[in-house]
Amino acid sequence: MIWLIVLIVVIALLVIYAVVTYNSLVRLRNQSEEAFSDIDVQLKRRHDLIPNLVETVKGYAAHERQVFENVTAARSAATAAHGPEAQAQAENALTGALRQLFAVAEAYPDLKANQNFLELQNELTDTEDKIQASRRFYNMTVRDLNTKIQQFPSSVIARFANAGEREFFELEDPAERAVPTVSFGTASA
Amino acid sequence: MYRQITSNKRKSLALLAGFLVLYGVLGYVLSLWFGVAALVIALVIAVVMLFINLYMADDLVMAVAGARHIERKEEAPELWRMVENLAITAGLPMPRLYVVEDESPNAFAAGRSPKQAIVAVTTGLLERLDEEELEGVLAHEVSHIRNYDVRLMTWAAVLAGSIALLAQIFMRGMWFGGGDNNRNANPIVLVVVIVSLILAPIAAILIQFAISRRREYVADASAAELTRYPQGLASALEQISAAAKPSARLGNQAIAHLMIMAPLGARGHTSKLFSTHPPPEDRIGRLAQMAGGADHRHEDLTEGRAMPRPGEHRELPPEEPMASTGL
Repeated sequence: MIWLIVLIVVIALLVIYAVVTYNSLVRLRNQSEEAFSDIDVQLKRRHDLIPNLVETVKGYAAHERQVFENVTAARSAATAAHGPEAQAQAENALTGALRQLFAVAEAYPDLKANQNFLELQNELTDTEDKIQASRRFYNMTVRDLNTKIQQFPSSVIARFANAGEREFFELEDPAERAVPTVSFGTASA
Repeated sequence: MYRQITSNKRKSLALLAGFLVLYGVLGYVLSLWFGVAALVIALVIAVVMLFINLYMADDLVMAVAGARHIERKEEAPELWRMVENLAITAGLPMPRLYVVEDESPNAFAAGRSPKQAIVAVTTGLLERLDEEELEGVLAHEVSHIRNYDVRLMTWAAVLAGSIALLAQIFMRGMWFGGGDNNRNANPIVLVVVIVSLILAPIAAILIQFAISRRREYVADASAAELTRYPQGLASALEQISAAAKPSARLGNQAIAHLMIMAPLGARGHTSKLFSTHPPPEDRIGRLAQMAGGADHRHEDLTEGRAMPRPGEHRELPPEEPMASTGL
């Protein structure tokens, strides 16, 4: 009799654990999807700024055609890209092209003083900050999701639930998501 | 870093459980003397106080602190942008922003949920800190919001407050010979009741402050996670503790637990045990440990950016951004 009760309790606990884990996997997956679309919003904002920026620079440095073409091509590649890895690559290319554009702008003092140019530059910087911010949130969520999928025993539930790991969204710098490896549990209270 | 966050969370849960136990014990002891009515009264008081605190505290706090609402980005673009970016990093909606006209550098968060959250900073803070320090402080406040600390601390404050109130009510009730059950009670029960009425409020406050200190450590650690730059917050804490001065406005005990650092007026001559915040030196020490491994700031300067932020110096020429990752 007592063994029956023990058995029932153990099974009940296992079921509860499975349900809780499954739900948290679902929550993390949805969260990371939402986080990814937040990055998309910021990326789109970045792409929307570029035509204006190119036009403004053109007004002062019309003969630097190659640079404009590079930026425009990189922009359309970035708009077309899909999935974290492809998008990250395209964004990096775009960042490179934009750096060239700004390097060109350096040579034109009038352009650098142009109010419109300054505003666009500020907007772009702000957008890039926001891309970084939303990317960090996405990467943190993905890290939590992937940890859950890899760790035992939640990995068992993940296999049954068919939960897949997600890719990190990284720009340039793989060290970004690396966690500082210091532990503080033992610091004096 | 993450391990510190989890361990801190576990400890605050334990403290909260301690609170409930204390409440239960006090209720039980009182019911020995006064009957079941005491338990009901205790419960009603707690619920009413909780309700008042959760639904009116935001406005009360803002009124006490005399804060000015920043409604549009244009009013304080730098501050707005910083908070906006931190909120995105933490996956939170943009909190409402307030500025308090006060010399003493301080900041606090309020609001019962991330959707109704408030972040307030003093003008003294804005004047004194540089960009990275301010970012650290704001990240600390945003972390309080993300970790639901405001709600937790409201619970703690209410429980502590209602225990104190209960103790007072029943103390008086005893002097005036209240209750019908005390005719056949024995003197030992009487002593137990009196002692617990005296000790319970003290224990409650100790627990409340212990939870508060715990949450400060958690918020410091998650701020470091958000900004990836523990040094910013560390040097901000140094500045704040050096520049702290008694402030009539912020020195109000009622909102002390919300501040980034205990305001002087509220702290007075208390020991560590009776403080809502851990000593700044200790917090700075822990942040320094977090920073110990690597300085991740270098990479952030060039990462994904077409140009450096105004006023920032790139560590390396743009042609070789990868070189900056070689730590």
